[in-house]
This record gives sequence, structure tokens and C-alpha cells, in this order.
Amino acid sequence: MTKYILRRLLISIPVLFGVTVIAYFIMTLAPGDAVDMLVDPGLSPQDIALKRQALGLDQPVIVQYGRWLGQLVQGNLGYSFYNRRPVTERIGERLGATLTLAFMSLLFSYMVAIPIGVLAAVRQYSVWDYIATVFSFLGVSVPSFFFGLLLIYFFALKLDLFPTGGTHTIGAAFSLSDRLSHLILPVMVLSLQNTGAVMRYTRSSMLDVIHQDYIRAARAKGLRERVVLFRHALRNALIPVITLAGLQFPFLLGGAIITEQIFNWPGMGRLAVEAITQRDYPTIMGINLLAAIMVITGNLLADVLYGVVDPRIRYTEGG
Amino acid sequence: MKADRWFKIVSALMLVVMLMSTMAGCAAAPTPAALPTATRPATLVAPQAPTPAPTATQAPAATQAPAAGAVKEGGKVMIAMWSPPNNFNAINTDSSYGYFNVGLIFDTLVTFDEKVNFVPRLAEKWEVSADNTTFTFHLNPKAKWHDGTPVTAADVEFTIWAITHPKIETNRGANVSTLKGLKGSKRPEGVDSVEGVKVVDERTVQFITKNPVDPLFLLELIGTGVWIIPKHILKDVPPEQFSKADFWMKPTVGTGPFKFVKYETGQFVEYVRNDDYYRGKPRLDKLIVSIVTPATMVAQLEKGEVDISAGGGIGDIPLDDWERVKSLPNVKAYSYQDNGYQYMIINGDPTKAWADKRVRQALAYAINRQLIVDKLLKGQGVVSQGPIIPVTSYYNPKIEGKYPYDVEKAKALLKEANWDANKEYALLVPTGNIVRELSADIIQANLAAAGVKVKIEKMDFPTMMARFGKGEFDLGLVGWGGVLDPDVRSQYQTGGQYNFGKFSSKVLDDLLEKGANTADTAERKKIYDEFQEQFLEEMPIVPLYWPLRLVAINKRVNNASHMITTNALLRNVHEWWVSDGK
Repeated sequence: MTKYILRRLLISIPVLFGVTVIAYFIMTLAPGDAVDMLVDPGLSPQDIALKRQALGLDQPVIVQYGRWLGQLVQGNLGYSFYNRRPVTERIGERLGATLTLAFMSLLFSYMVAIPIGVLAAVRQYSVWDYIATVFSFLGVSVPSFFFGLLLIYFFALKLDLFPTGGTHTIGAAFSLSDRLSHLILPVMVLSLQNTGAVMRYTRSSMLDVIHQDYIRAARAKGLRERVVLFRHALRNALIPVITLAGLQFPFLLGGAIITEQIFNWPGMGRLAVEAITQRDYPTIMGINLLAAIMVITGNLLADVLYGVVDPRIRYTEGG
Repeated sequence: MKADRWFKIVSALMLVVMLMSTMAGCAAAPTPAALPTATRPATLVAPQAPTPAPTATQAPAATQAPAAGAVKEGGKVMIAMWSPPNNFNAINTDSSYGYFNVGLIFDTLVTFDEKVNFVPRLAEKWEVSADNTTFTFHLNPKAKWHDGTPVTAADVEFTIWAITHPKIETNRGANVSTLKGLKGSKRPEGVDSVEGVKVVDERTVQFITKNPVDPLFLLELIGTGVWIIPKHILKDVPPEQFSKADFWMKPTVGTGPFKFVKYETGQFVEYVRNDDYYRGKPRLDKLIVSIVTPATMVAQLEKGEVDISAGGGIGDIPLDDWERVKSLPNVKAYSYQDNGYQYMIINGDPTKAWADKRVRQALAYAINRQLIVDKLLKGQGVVSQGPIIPVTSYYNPKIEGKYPYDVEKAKALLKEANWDANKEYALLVPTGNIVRELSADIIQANLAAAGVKVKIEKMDFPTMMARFGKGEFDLGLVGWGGVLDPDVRSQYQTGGQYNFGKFSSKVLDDLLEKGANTADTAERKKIYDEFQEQFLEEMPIVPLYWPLRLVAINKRVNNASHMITTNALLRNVHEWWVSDGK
């Protein structure tokens, strides 16, 4: 197992390298650069030339990439073109907010979706099943910006239960209840789509399993229905659902863009949009690298979890 | 299993690329925050003279005269703007969001009052030599940095030294380029002092210009466009590292009415009052600049979570919400005109179809600009007739009413110019400003009616700038918000830095050069009067409209009012107070 993980990690190095090459060149294909953006009557032609030179934009793309990679090897992600702060600092101050949001909504959607999915499968074609199906389709199809604004309108403006945005009340001392009340609406929006998807996955995977022979055998043995469902069926039904979690996590980071925008949530999604509109190459690359690492880790995690949940899967020398 | 693994690696790669492209897709979506890039008024403040406000502007609900003795101390005010400041670098922050905050922490030598007259700030008085080349500023002896160090002439000298340093990044260069001893806006390599700045004594500093300049020009560009930075804090920072100094993220030492407390990334900047402020102790305890998306700004104003929309293109009320905001009982909503206008840029390449000025004039007749103002802006705008800002004394009212909407006239002019009505031309439209995007459809229909076929191409701002740079366009919609001084050489003179269309006309070149080299205010006015009339004759661009800025202020806030430039809101921030004292 350890060997397997190690090997996977080693393989991820050339993968990451490939990602940076592709990303860098695609990024620089976008017309205009960080200095083109600056239309300021205070800038003299010399100011502009100096800025280009300071950012390395006077060099060919290949040289720019080389410099960036050289810094990266030394563990330095470079300085943001936008505010001249280290990229690690720029990402670091946003990462916490995004991770909080992503973890909470992953947690929330699984806690809600799995029980409902199981219920829908066990009582297939019952009223519960139909209600769950309708809601999951709604969840998947309602656009998050619309749902977000709807929630703000009702829960923040009309009922005044939750704040309209931000991570905490400005100027107030730290309090857990304040943080949580700021989290509730964005978590609901971000997990909406996810919940619908996970519910459908759980339902169909559960249905698959329920109709298999070993379940019938378990029932024939006279096991109680609860034991059959939760110990025998659910454990196997969850395997694809868990893979989904590993694969979804990085998407939560990316998919949070709109939610973060609406709720004024200072996370990575907003940073990514800002960095791209600002043509802030070092920040874009930093975020990309992080996203790539997340995808690779998510995949690896899913594979490892497979083994934990399903003893039939063993990672051996041959792969 | 092996194939499976490769599949996963490949899909991981694809995911990243996809993730990236969805992000890029989002970036191209109309985020209103992207709007001010094109209309970024980074240089501030106005020239002289009590000119009447244009009729379309509602009086900027000026000072609410408080009943004597009613002034309350304490409390806090929250100002909302759309995007975060990039940093607080007083000589190099690359956005109006940054400079808005810089304006709270640092001070300029001069500021202006409600009537757009220059009034003292760090400089308590100033003198101009008879030949208009030497400008002497006397600093306020009470002025101190937030750490107690006095503000001296050496700080002013240091600020100019930094801006003109060949290795220090700045975006203030154009403001100081009139000073003696500079090549362009920088000192020659190896020269360590600026000939054009002289420390006379501890509290007196002199600026010496290469040529005589209009005092109003210098007062605006150096007086109000350069924030003084602390020499005792920054003198040891290596020039190459200057723009990366930690100080610009935590500017704990300034001279302004408020002291920087902290910046919570992407959320808000917190300030506390500077009790020793030399223009008088501020009445508010705290000031918070909050970063709020346009969609939530109105909700927060309604709930009282924010008090003031920053206006000035960095925090306006969306036009769609205007009626609702006006009906809110807790805020005072009003509109005002600032230094930003929208125009249609024309490719000035002499081989292109637009080289004949009759064609360019026809474009102006063909576009129903009043309709754009009435329908799209819902009346919250003024038809523009040129680049000189109407609120300033250099504006020539005689140009008003020229080029009314007249399709027949447009057709006649095009016919005279042997226009080919079958060709299709590209109209570039940057995303971000919704009104501007909608106006493209009206313009397209108007031009088609006159026989000019255009295809709308929407793109993000940097893409459009790149297309301008390569000359790959015919027409384009852009905005501009510059200095109030009428020197618009950078935009309309041959080879000008912001002459995006690469337009060239001898008449305009000569008038602009003459205007820039004339130091006498009255003489200059005559030149620019002539320039404005010739501008409409040459029509290097088609001026479209001055959008009014829509803003709201909570009724509990007294003495605050928006005007002319973004930072002008803060001109008297130390006198603001809140009725409920909270």
C-alpha cells in the first residue's frame, strides 16, 4: 500500500510539470497582459516600460516560463502582478475561507444526501422516492446564482435571519455563532447541486446492490432488515459515492466561484476570477498548481478509500 | 489496472485544463467589477473656478447644515466599494480602489472644496513666481505622521525622488514630468536628486518646472495628484524592492485623518481616527471601507450594513436598482456628474475607410446619443461633445447642441465621401459595463440606418487593448476618466500614449501643443475653446455621453457628499459625523 501511494506520488511530479507547461502557455495566449490593463493618466511612457520590465513581460513567453519554473523549484511561487505581494501570501489568505466553505458543504451534502438516497432506494417508487427525485433534479438544475440571490432575499432581507455576505460581522470580536450564521447560506448554495447529485448516486448504487444475490442470501439467513441494509448493502453501495467525493472536492473549489461572488466570500474562486481578469500570471499559475495538486490528491484519496471500504480491492506490485 | 491508471492521470490533466477554462469563461462574464478599468480616474481633483454645475446634475446634496451644537462625536461609517484595493502603495497602487484608500491614510499638498477651488491640505499656503516656473509650498506646521514625526519638506522631496527614480515602479510619473531635470518622468541614471525640487527649509519646498506652466495644471497634477510618503520609514528600502515593501500592505504611518488598522483580504479595510490630525480631530471613531458586490450593495444599504456607496465608478448603485434605492426611507439617493465619459474610438489608420473626416462626422450624426441617455441611462446622463469636463472652467459651452441626431445628414456626408455601404466593420465592445454593452446594439442599428454596417464583437478589456495595440479594429466603445485639466495630449495628439485609434491631425496637434505650453490661464482658455470646436470638426472619436454616478448615503451621516472625482468624497472626511453617534 505504502509503495503504491509512493509510486502514485512520484508519477504525479511529471503530471504536475505537464500541467504547468500547458497552463502557462494557454494562459499567455489570452490577449493583453497585466500592463495593458493599466489605463491611468498618471502613468508616463517610462512608468509603463519599467513596469513591463519589472514583471518580466518584456521577455518572450518561454523565458517568462523558465523564470517562473526556476523560482518554483526553489519553492517560490513569485510575486503577484496585481499587488506585488508573494503569491503564497495571496493564496494563503484566501485558502482558509474556501476550504471552510468546501468542507462544510461536502459534509452537509453527504449528511443530507446519503440517508435520503438510501430511503429513496429502499422505498423505490414510493412518495418519498418521488419527492427526493424531484428535489435532487431541482438541486442539480437550479443555477447557484439564482438560488443564492433567492436565499439572500428571503433569509437575509425579508426574515433577517442571516447576514447577506462576508465571513463574519465586520469589526465584531470573534464568535462561533457569528461565523456559523455567515456560513449557512453560502454552504446551502454550494451544496445544493452536490446534494442532488450525491442523492441520485446513492439511490442508484443502492438499488444495484439491493437486487444482488448476496443481499437476498443475507435476508434468507434471517438477518434483520437494518443489518442487511446498513452493514451489507450500504457498505458496498457507498464505494462509487466515495469516489465521487474525491473527485468532487477540487470542483467545489472551482465551483465556489459564483457562490463566493454572491456572498462576498473571500475565497480562491474569487481570487481566480480576479487574477484572470487582471492577467496576473503568477497568481493564476499558483491557483492552477494548487488545483492540479488537489485533483491528483483527490484521486489518490479516492483510490485509497476504495481499499478501506472494500477489502476486495488490494493494490499490489503489478498495479 | 494499468490502463485505468493512465486514464486517471490523463483525466486529472484534463480536469485541470477544464477547470481553468471554466474559470476563464467566468472571467469573461460581465462582472461589474471589471468596469472601472476603462474609466479609471486615478489622478484626482480639479482646477479652479466656481463654474455652475451642469443642469442635468442634481445638486450633490451638499453639506447638510447641522444645527449648531448638534454635532455628535464618535460612531463609525461604512463605505462600500465593489472590489478590493490591490495594496496601499501611495505612488503605485494600480487601481482607483487602491487610491481611494490611499486618500484616507495619506495626504496631498492641496485639495479642493465643493466649488472645485484649490484649498490647503498638507500645504497651508503657496506662491507662484511671476514667470510661472517656481511654485513654493509652505507645509502646515501642525502636520505629523501617525508615529508623531513631523512632516517636513524632506518628505515631499523624497516622494518626488522616489517617483522619478529610474528603478522605482510608479504610476504617478505623468504628474511630475513638468519638473526640471527630468527626461520624461524619470531622472537620468546616476543622478540622485531632482533639480526641480528644492528644500528651502524644514517646512518650505519649491517646485521648479522646465517651462512655464499654468498654475492650475501644477496644482492639480502635483498638488492633488501626489500623495506624500514618509521618508523616515521608506528611505532604506532598495529601489528594486520599493513596490514590494511590506509597508504598502500595512501602511501604519500616514498623515491622513484616519489611521490604518487592518485589511481583511477581500472583505474590508478598517481605520481608526487620527486624534492629532492637523486639519482638526475627526468626529468619527472609526471608518470602514467594505468590499461589496453590486448585487449585494443595495441590500446592505437597505439593511444599514453599509452607509455610503463610494460612487465614482468604484461603487455606484446599479441603474436597475435606482428606483428602489430612491424609495428607501433610510438613505438619501442622488446622482452627480464626474470626470468619466464614454466614447466611440475610431481607427485612425489613414488607409482605412475612416480617414475621410466626413465619414467620422457622419458617425456622430448617425448615432442617437440622446436616445441612449434617455432610454438606457434612464435620463441619468448627459450627451458628450468632447473630452473637456463640463464642470471645469475650460469647458466651452458653445459646442453644445452640435451634431444632433440626423440620419439624412449622415447619409449625405457618407455619399459625398463615396462610402461603400456593403462592407462590414468591427465594433469592439468590452464586457463589464452593462449600459455600454446595451448601447452597442443601439449604435449598431443607428449606423445601419445610415448605411454603415458594423458587427459587434464583445471581449474582455485586456483583449480589446491588445486589439487596439495591433490596430485590428474599426470602431470600439471605451470610457475615460482623466485629470480635470484640459491637456489631453496623451489621448488626442499624434503618437499619444492613450491615443488608441492612432489618430493624427495637424490642427489638433498644434492646438494641444500650444495649450500645454501656455502658462497664462486666460490665454489657455482661449486655446482650448478653439480646440473644442476643432475637435468636433475633426471628430477623432465620437463622444457619446457622460453617465451620472448614482449614489446613496444613509441619512444618519452628515457632511458627506460625492463630487467630480472618486477621492473627492473624502475631501472633508474629518468633518463627517453620525446623528445616532453609533
